[in-house]
Amino acid sequence: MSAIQPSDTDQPTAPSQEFVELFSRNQRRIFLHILGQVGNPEDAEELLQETNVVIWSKFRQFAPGSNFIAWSFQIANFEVMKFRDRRRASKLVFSDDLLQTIAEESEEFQDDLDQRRTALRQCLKKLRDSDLALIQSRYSPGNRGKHVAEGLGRPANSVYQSIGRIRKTLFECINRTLHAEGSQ
Amino acid sequence: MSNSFNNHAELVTLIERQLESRISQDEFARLETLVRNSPSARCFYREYLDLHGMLHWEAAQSSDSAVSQTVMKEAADVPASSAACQTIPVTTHRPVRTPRRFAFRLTALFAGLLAMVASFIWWSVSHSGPQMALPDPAPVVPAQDALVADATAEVPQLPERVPVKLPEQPLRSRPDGSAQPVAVSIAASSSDHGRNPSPDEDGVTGPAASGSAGALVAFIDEQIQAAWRDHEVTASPRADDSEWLRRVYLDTVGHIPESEQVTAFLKETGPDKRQRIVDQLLDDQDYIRNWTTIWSGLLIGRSNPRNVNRASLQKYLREAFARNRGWHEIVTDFISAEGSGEDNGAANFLLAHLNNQAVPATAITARLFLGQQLQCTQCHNHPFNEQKQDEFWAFNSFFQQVEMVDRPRGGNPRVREVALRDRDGAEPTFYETRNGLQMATFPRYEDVRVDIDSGGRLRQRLAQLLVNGDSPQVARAFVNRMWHHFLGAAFTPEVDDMGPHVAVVHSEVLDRLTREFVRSGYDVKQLIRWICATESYNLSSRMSDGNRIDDPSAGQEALFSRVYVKPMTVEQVFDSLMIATQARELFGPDWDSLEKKRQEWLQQFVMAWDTDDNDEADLFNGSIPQALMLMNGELVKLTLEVEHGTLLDKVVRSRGNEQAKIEQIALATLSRRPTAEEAAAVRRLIRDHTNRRSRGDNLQAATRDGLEDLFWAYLNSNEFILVH
Repeated sequence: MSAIQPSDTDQPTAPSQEFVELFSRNQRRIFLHILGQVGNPEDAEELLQETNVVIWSKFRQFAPGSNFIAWSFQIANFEVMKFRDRRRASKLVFSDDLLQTIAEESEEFQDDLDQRRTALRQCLKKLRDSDLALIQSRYSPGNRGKHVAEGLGRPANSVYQSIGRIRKTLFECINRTLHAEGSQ
Repeated sequence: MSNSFNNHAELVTLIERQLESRISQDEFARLETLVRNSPSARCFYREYLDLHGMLHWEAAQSSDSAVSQTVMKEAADVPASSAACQTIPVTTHRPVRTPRRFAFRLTALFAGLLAMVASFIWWSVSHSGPQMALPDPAPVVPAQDALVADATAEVPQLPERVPVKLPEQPLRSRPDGSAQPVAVSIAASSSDHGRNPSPDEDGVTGPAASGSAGALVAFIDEQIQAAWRDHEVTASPRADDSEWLRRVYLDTVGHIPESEQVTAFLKETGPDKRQRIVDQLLDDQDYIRNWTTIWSGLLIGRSNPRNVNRASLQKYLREAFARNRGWHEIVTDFISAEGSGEDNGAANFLLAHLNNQAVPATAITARLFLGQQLQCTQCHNHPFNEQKQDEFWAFNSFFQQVEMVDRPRGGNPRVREVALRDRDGAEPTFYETRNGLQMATFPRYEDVRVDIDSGGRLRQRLAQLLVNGDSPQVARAFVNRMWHHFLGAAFTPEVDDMGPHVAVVHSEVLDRLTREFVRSGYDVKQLIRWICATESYNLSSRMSDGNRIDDPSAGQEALFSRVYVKPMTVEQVFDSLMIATQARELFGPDWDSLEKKRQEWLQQFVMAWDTDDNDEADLFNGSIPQALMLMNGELVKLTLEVEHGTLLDKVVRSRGNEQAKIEQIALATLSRRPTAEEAAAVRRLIRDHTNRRSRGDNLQAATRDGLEDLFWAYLNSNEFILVH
């Protein structure tokens, strides 16, 4: 852990290659970390942007070799708290202490993300064609379950049901895959 | 994993509403409570949102076009399928090492062997279950032509064996058995050419064994024969030794016999040779393994529900079957278990099903141990029985008196465990009738009401009630299940439904077997001995003209004038592949690594059927997608390709002539000698390979290719995949 680099340069003016790599490699991870707290992908994306701004402005404070994830999560957590203050009127945000618990646990749990992503790919392939089309349409950028229903001319409720069912299928499938890889 | 959904049913509903922005403030408050109060709920919440986030993220990453999204794009690239053919769930393959040979083999294979081996559908002449699955040779022809052209030229990277156009529906043979002319001819000729039955193969054994066992078996045979006379049915002939040996291995130890065991058995003489095999198999290690697999599947499913320790449950079952403990003791253990799943393997059954007011525990206990379908009576009275709804909740009341507690393990606050614990004060169970009336009931089973104030452990009382008497339902249900396991049909149309409205065939046989089973101290091995000694179990599975109406799969009453064909379970397929290919060592030296491999392999079948109902029961049902998965699976390829130590390798290197080698492969896969047609076809194939191979290659390599094709075709035949 080289907290202090013997510096022949003074303050670096641009982030190091390592920093840039860490930054881009962990975008998805930070996004999911935020999402776990706010629940809504659009909000999470917005907060990710704000977090990124802070990360870039503070790149000098990041000690090379230290834990980038822990560092960036801290920044993200702070942004989530600010967000919560803004949204206090809305009752659809968790309370501070629960947010904190979730944030802490999220840090412990992030290890298997890459496996999860790989598993998700596999699992998507196993969906029936019609299910795959439906879930694609649901997640095409900017879309919502409601829009999907309008597009299909199906009752919204039945579309919600189907989307929920597919998500559950994927969820189970991912966990099974990981379980099969992991133990026994 | 279905259980994680059961445990978190409310949570999932709330999360789903949240994800679609439909959640109300009250619901959100409820969501927050759930997530706050339980670590496992938080974990579930996090994982669920991760999925949501990943889907969102991946889609957003390549947002140029709404459709071209990295992950989903890849998914969509899976072979497009017409509506008639299901999507083929191809697992990703490592690059094919020798694409040329594979392509070549595909040609030869479909040109030659497949047509021949596909004809084995006659095995399943009457089997109504989904048929496995070899493509009809005819539709293959276009693909084949293309490949022939390619095989002579420089072969481009060819796809795997998949892209064969499948027939629109599974092959269903016509009831008269004449699905294809070739099928008939092979069936007819098999006894002349192929089998070379040894003179005493079918020694005049008869099931007449010693003492009371003999009397019991004789009684069963008489009853069943009487029904044949009543229905004017002629039983199928006695199964020859090959057919019978393979069947009794699969049924008892869960896999096919090794080729040496087949040849030894064919040579053996003596009237009691079959009985000796049964005794030997009951003492085999794989007997324990097989029944542990079967019962852990029945008790907790094949996936791994939360709160459940599969390894611990299996340890319990292994011990129970190894010591041949009485079935009544085992049931008692499951119903009255206490403590954590780690410490008490039997506790895992209830831990898996105690969620949701113990409704699953109630329904599954009734179904598995009592052969009763209670699920529907949970909400309404059964049309046949006024009392049913009340009965359900009275039975359920026993299980409502136990709770799952999340507690530190061994005093260590960082390690948690979930355990079963009886509630302190027992209470009546409340339920609502359909017209909204609130009702209350107390623990009661078959009109015996258990006083909740009397102290004592209610579930133990229940277990006592269940195994009380000289032929309790627990014993009847078990006998029915075992009969179904071996004969392919139960005494009732559905093995798990023995309710009052269900007609029982041969009820006198069921009664007598049940009483004897109870008298034996619920001796499971003894029950198996009796069943295996019956005349019915020793008959061929082949339908004859005389017993065409004996077809339970067509809704007819089961007469047991033949053994009904059943598809292998996915575990049987795996274990049998290991035996046939002798590839067991590939997966590590010890038992655990093989078990791990089996679990992994099994998952692909689990996921293939991961649809609405999440039904785990028929994982491997021998349908076309599964057959293709098997044919193209890593496992089959691996076990065929490996150079050293596998059966194929040994056969290729062995000294014998071609005929002997072909025979070895037939014995290893199908437990019988090859038919004359098969042998001739393979010899042609080998010559073909020799001709096509350019100089520098030797005869041995060509032989190897030919034998490999044969091996592969056998493994993917109906005859391999069915227990017959």
